[in-house]
Amino acid sequence: MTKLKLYLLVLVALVVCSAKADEGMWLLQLMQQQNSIDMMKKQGLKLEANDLYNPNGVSLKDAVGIFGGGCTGEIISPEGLILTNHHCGYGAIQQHSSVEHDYLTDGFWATSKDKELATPGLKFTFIERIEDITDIVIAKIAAKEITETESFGGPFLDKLAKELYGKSDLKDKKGIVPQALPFYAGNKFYLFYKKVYSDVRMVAAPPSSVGKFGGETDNWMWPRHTGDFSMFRIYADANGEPAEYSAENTPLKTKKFLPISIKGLQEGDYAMIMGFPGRTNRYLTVSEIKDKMEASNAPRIKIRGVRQGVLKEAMNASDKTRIQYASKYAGSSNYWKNAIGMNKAIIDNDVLGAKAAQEAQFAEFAKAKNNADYMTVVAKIDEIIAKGQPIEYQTTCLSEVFFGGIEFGTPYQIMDKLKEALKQKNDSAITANIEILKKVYTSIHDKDYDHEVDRKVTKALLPLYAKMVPADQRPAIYNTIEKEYKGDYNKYVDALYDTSIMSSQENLDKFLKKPTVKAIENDLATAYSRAKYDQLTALSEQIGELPDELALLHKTYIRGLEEMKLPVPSYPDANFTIRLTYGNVKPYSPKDGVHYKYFTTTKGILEKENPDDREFNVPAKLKELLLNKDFGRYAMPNGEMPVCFLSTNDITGGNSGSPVLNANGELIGCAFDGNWESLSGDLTFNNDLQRCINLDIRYVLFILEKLGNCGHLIDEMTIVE
Amino acid sequence: MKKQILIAALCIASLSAQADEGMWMLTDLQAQNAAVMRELGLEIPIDQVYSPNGIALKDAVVHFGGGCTGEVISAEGLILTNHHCGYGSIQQHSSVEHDYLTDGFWAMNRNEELPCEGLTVTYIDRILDVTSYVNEQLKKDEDPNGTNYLSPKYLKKVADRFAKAENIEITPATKLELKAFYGGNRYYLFVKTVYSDIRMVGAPPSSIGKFGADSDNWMWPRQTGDFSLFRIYADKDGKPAAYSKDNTPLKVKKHLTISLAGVEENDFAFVMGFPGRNWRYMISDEVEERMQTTNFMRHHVRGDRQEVLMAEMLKDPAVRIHYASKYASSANYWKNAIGMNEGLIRLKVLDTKRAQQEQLLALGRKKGDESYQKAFDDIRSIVAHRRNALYHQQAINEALITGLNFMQIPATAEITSALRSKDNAKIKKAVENLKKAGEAYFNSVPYTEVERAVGKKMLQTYAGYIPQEQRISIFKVIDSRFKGNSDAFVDACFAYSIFGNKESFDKFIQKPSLNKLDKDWMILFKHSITDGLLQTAIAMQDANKNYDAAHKVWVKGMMDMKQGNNTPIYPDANSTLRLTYGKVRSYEPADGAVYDYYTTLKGAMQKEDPHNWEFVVPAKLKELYVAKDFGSYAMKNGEMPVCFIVDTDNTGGNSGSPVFNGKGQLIGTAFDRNYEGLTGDIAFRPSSQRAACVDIRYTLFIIDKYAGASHIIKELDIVR
Repeated sequence: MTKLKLYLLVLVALVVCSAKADEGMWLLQLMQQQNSIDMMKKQGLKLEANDLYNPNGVSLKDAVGIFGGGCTGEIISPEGLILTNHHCGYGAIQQHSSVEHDYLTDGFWATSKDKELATPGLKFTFIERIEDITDIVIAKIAAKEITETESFGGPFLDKLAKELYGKSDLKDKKGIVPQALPFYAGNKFYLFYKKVYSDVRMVAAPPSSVGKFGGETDNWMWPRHTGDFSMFRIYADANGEPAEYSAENTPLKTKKFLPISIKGLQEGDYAMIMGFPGRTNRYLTVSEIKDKMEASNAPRIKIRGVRQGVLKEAMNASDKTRIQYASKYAGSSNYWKNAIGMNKAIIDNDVLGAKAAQEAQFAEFAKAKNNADYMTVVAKIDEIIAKGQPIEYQTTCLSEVFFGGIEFGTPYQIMDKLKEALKQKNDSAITANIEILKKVYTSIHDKDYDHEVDRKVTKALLPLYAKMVPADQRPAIYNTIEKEYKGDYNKYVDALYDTSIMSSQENLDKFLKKPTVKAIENDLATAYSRAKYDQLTALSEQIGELPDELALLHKTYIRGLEEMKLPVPSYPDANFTIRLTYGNVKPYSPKDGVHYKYFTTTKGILEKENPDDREFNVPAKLKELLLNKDFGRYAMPNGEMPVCFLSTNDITGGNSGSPVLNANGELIGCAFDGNWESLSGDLTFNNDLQRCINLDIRYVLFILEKLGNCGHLIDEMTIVE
Repeated sequence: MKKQILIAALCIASLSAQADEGMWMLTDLQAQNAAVMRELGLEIPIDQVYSPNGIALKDAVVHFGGGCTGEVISAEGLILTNHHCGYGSIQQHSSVEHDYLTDGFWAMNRNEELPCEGLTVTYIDRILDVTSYVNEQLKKDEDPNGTNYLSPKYLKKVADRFAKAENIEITPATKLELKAFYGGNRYYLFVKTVYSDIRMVGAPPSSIGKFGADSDNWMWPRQTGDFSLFRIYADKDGKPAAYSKDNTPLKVKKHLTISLAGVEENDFAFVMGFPGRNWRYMISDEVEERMQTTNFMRHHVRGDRQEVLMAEMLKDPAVRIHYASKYASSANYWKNAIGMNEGLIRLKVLDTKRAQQEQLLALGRKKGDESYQKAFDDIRSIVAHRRNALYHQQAINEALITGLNFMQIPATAEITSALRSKDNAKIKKAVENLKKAGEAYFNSVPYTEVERAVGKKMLQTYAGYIPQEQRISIFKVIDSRFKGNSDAFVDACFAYSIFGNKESFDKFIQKPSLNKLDKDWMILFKHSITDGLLQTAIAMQDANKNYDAAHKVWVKGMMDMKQGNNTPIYPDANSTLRLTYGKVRSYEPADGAVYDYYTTLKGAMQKEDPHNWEFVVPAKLKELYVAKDFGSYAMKNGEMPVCFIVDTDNTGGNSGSPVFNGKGQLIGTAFDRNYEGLTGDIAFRPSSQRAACVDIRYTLFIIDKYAGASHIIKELDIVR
């Protein structure tokens, strides 16, 4: 789902926000005001607003937090036990793994608390309090203490957060971190007091053959059979307050934990998710979406396609190259596919048409209101996009070719420093820079780099870039190629790859034996790297104030849209703050003749099993359990064992690990992915295609108890049967 | 799915035949199946399906061409079959100017209907169980080898004898076919009438009739309008006759009623047709043999050839038209072989087979009958002995015979012996004959460069699978004269052989010489291939000699075992008329996914890809879709149905078969099977085999709305 992050972002983003029941990443603090609690009750919720979020007491919110840097986790026992995704705990599991203790491969099960592994650097963050500070910010703007643009900015908001924190009753509490953020493009501001625990220990993780079952192949896909979970525990000092790791620390007595329902689920059941969605851009104009398609996706598709062609050929020709470049290729092709899929989905789903209709409606609204700002805002955005688009296009071309495509180069700043040191005969500086240079050489020519393959890539990409970007906008090396190599790209590239100091160990040794200013000045790769960074700087200078201007316009546009939609409530774009989304358990039909059920079972694990494919290995013990149908109390009434299920919740990257709750607020699953079809769509756009993929809590407990023999953990929990 | 084979897998998969699995003999229906069919939903008496002495649905089901089924759908001899069954005829009439493959063909009146040379339609008049008669004859026969019981030649004689004895009327159009069933444990005689003036009436463009092409072949969900229309013509007395413009449409004794009521999940359905071949009585060793020889070679050799062909076809539309049919028929069983092997492994078919044969062997031991064990041991040892030879034979077949069109060179035996005799008259005659054969040959391979590219690839492929010392003799020449470079050898064939190009051939015809014939590369190559085949045949001869007898005993055992359990039985398919019944049913291809029992035109639009010829949607069809101009053919919800699936037991040869509802009305045309039928895991999804059918409503929609051929609709009997 790390991948899902960027992907869904933009796409979901583009979906028109006509706030259907399933759509919306709602702010907890606005639930009462926006009447969303009534909508939720209509959908089946049996709780009151205060049960979900209570500014003055304990609520479900207090069992949900930020896990590490980019995931969500939930508290499932009074002793601080955390449930999150396997891919969220992955870094920690990897950190504890060695050849002797390969927890990635074999899984990890702490059989008692003293076996739980301290994980330095890992934090768990609760949201202690949320305060509306919009009025304060507006007053500061009105008093001209700050400009409107500054009001969105990190420096101002950080300062403000610290000021307010200094005056608050939480000032002396341990682990409190204040954070102020803009919402609705700066129409609202909230201050979050976070409580950060930093002694978090690893408790349980299934083997990757369970937790990552299906690997890359199944990523984004449904039907899915991944047991994507891991468990951690929060430890606190003697007073139950955040503290750095200490052997004396004890499990946190949590004020709230989620009861777990193993009663199972049915199609249409109410389901809600609380978590920390990362980013969305749902309030773009037609021009902005077109910009995304033409200035970003289109050149990316073209350039990556060419590079991948070169890589594929080299990989087919040699097993060594295949292994070296497998991950690079996959990384490139992931967003290449994404760009293709996104452009296709935008067209297939007539996103531009829908956005245009919204803009037309907005124009009517602005006229009726006689609001001059509203009447002109879209045109102004269009104007900025028109100015910025060529620059963005060039930035994409530059970064895809010179930063994402070609790997070779030389750290010209180090070379400059070395040159300076040589001129000044500063021996210690010479030695220091030479040491750095040696390290850089190893990092360029690492085990996954093949100089010859990279040379081929460069030979293909340099001329391609020249075709795509006007002559006066290219890095300076194109002058060199034109003048000194008579426009012969191959000749230039061969010289670059053969003669540069960093080209080979031999060249480097020769240079280091007798480093000279002249050698540095004549070095092709140094000039090459300098040129690409210079061009990047030039482009960012050209962009100049445009992003700030755009931000202001967005503030106006989003305020207008919100007004227009009233009384239908609006939600702000995701920004990694706590949100709630509600919907239902629901299957879908991805295409003519095909139906996907809302759940999968362990049958599918055996169907997908392939001992020869690492992604689809099934651990022997799990297989035995499945074949013997040894499912304990976790099976469905028909005797089958559930694995994953679908819901209509509106999530994105950052929501990974989020609790899925039923109408009673009991935990029924753990969100971990989104489905592919929501991106590549239908002929007519259909919101029904978008689904959130969740791990069924019964499968989590089954694995924990039967595969991990961790009955003692289940004893900690409150299970509703 | 087209012709043959698929079944092998099915068959092998599920000997535990459920009530709805089986390719039943019509003659057994009354006794074995009628009760179950009624229970499942058949609403008409069984004698309206098949009646030995009267007219029934059977009399509207015909054998179309060599390997398909067709059904008569109007009083004036109109026949509905698959597009892929009519493909050869459509191609035959196509040229770059009139590209009916691409554009479709619709005769707007009778005069525009195009006669199809060589195409026949065959009615089955009577089906007679002649087991006891044949057994009597066999007893009297002094067959030294004891192989006559399966010999077509011998059985033909017996058929003639029987017809005479029973006073069966024989006309010039009558064909008698006496075939062995159950490995020779039973015999049936089919009395048939063959019509040979068949004309092409209508065919949609390939972008409808072959929509999805190779990618979708064997696949479900499917949106292929796989149908075409022909008409039977007869002389003025309504008798079969060769083409004449004076012939008139046949006034048929039976034609089908068409229902527009559509299908619902679990509706009863049955299919009649001519399933080609299957091998449901194989033992596990034979299944393995099949996987490792025939299927292996089909998969790998055809894959190589198709790659070369496709590249050439994409370059030139004329090449595409010429090779379209060849490519399609190659790809058809290429995919089948891959799917079958995948399925055999995943379905654990070998385990199932082993369990089953163990059951029969146990039964034999219990009864004190050693014959089953002996038959079983014999078959095993036969399979073991012929393994290498069969592997080599399949390599020759796929790479050097099916693979190389240019090696279909004319025979040179006549000219050789004439030259040797030095008899001028003989030489003159032989030259004339060769000249004619040569013309035909050069017409059949107009694209030398394509043939050359394929030839080079196929020789490499063959050499890749067969070790040097085992290769056919021409490779010794390639090694010695061409330094092992088979490409150079192929070039030499085209440069120097008298069949290599028209000039060489004309030169030879001008001045034929023995010397030239003796040193001719292509002739040597052809002889070498023939010799290679002969060598593999000799190597297998001993092993095969005893196979049929052992197989007969083994099948007898299986029959006895089933009948002992009161399980109905059916013989392996052998291109004779059969009936299979079942239900319209969706299925689960994998955990969490369900495939609907029907598809709609929406799916064709979803698959549309103007850049991929397989998924091009004709503009007019798209217009109709967008306007929802579906006439009276749409479903209740307003969508246009295209295909549906039934769980009947079909195989190649069933292509074009009528699919009937419980009332015996036509609801669709069978055209394919699903991939999961081969690959599903039987232990978890026992019922994932389906036959794909074109919904008759889509067929009529295309005829009526797309082609504007409403005069055809007027001929039909349609109930709503």
